[in-house]
Amino acid sequence: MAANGDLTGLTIAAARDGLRQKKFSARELTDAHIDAMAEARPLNAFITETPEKALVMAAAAEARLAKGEGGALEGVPLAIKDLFCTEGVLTTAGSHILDGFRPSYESTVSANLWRAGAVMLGKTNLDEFAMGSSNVTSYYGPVKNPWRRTGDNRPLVPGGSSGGSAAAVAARIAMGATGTDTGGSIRQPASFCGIVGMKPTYGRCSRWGIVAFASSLDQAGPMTRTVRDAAIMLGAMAGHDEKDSTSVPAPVPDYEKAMTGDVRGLKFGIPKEYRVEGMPAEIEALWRQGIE
Amino acid sequence: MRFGLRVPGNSLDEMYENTRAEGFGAEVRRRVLIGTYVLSAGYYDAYYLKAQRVRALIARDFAEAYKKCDVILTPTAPSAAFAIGDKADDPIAMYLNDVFTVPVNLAGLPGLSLPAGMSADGLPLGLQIIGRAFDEETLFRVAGVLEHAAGFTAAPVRG
Repeated sequence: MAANGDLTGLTIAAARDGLRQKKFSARELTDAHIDAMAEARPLNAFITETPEKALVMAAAAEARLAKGEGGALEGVPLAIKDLFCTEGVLTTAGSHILDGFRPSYESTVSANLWRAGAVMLGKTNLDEFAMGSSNVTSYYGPVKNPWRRTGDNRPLVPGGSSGGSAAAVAARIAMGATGTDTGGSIRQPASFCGIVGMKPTYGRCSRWGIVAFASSLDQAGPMTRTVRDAAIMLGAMAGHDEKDSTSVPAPVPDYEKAMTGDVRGLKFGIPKEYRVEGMPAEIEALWRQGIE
Repeated sequence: MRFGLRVPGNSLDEMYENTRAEGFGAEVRRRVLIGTYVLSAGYYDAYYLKAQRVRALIARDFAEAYKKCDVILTPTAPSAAFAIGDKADDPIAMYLNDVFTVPVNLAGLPGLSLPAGMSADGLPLGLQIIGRAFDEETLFRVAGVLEHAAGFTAAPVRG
């Protein structure tokens, strides 16, 4: 790879392979994303940038890779929704009321990602306490969707509440990001920003260290640019945690391996209840196209 | 208060009031008030208990559906991205963004959105795949095939 910029266009799967084949280093990959984060500051996708921390983590990843070691996300730069408590790093939940809150502990999901070798770029903007669908309720200001309508330069919402995470992944600032989903807060911004967003089954990921919104609905999940990347990332995030009594004591399957490319014999259900009044014809058409 | 905002007042109560008034935004205050209202003694049965029953019915609906199919396919959201400032004075219109995704949370199921097409004005649109509880593997398998079929390659400019 020549220019740093090229590296931000890679998928997590391609970066993983490139790092192991020594086509580029974890430091180069992280540098490219730190540059992208600075360049894309007008999107307001991040509340806190942690480039120094990213470089320290990248160096550690590089050392492990050099020894032929490393986890599933070794050296992969990720962004963390600012609803996850991160030890020693400002955690705001998008609210004024948590001013200056630096947790003395790390959320289980983010700790799992770091254990898999991921590199933290920073904390992404969100609706205040995740309450919103357009990222406009954040005390830190709205996030701009990197997409624009054809021939119309008005800034669009990225969706919410994981709007900063969705914008960061879509704008190729982060290779993936964590989201949380209580009523659609991963999937709706993923749809608005043209990326993949996945809410796992309730109980698949630990909620420990995530600022609660509605405890019987909240789940953490991956936001990435491809389905394979979501499978890789969820594999690292998920798992039983004694500190969340609703997390399920079941082994985490190899999700990437599950992508066999073969759906023969599977039945797809199409719920007619979802044909709501006033839904734009193009959404209906897309749905029909998906069915076919 | 060991961390967070602190807005002084003439008494402890006033300090709490000032801090909360300044510290929480309008939407959070709205939801705190709605939550307090529906959980209050006189309305608990009418709202919260009724909602719990509806939730059980939704979960049962999905369970019935999965006797006949393996995954469910829906749009992710009822629209593409809208302009910043739109729907700002209409909380109900804003809440309807979640109309296709909320049932999945209520039933506790896995759901995945993937970009599957573009709107006429050049914005991405997502499709949602909903799976059986703890069957993320089938979800990823189906999503991988749909992703390949959709061939979505468009990307926005940065910043």
